[in-house]
Amino acid sequence: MSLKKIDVGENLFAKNDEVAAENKKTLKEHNIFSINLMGGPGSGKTAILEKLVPEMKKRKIFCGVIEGDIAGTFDGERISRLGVPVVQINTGGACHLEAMMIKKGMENLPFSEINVLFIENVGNLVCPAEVKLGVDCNVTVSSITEGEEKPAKYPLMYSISDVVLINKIDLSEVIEFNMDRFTGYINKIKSEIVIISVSGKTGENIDVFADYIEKRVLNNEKD
Amino acid sequence: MHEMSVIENLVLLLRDVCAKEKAIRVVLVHMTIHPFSCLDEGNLNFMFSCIVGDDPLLKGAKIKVQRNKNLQEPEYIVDNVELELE
Repeated sequence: MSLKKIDVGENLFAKNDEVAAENKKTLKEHNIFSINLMGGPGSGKTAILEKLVPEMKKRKIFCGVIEGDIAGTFDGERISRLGVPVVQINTGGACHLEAMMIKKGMENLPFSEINVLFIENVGNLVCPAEVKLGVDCNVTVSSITEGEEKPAKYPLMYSISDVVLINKIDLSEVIEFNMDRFTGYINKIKSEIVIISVSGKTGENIDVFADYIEKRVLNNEKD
Repeated sequence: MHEMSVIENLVLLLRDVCAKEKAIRVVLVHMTIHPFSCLDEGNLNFMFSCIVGDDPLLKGAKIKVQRNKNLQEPEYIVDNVELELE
């Protein structure tokens, strides 16, 4: 009996990351800009999409959506009422979407009809940050009802995000929320990040986020 | 919980390494993860032991996890594995 040490140097999610790279390539070939929309349960991801998708349509940018939940089709049904292509994925237990789920979901989307793909991830501030899907842009939704310390408590999610949407600002008069402190926590983790205050209920500043996406779509087409 | 995804992929990797090296048992696994990763070493070892059960190749194997601030993205790197050979 003897002991032997073997050097491995492998990423356990290498297979997922390979599929994520394939997803990214497929979307690029079809000139589709993709966004991974993350955030805790109830932060308002679906409500934001309900306001954002029609705003993008006004700008002649047509969206498809992949909805991820552990169970149920509630969010998929809400999005389908917008008249856009939507695929509902039920993970059956996994608390995050994985690249292979997106690959299979994309097979049911009409690529010729969309410019932007939104992927609404499972409501969770932990695991979705750790699993690549092959998107162009990561967006995290926080809401003022969750408190300003979220970035300090869940640093990985904010460190991988390009945009943070601070939602439910329509409740600003009744919810105590220190925006400077919230922004400060984020900037300690990542200095180059876009932070936009929005309301998924009233639609306030959804146009500001739509401006950002529009610019990214145009740049994506130029590349 | 993504400990399950990590363990599923780890078990596949360990079986592969053991087959190549003709090992009879895994003794120790060293992993490196992102400093902000939400993986807990204690939970990981506990869940690993529950999942492998009495598998003679993997039972008793310990996983040591270190965090590397130089990792730019969330990754789960298996650095090396200590095996028992016949």
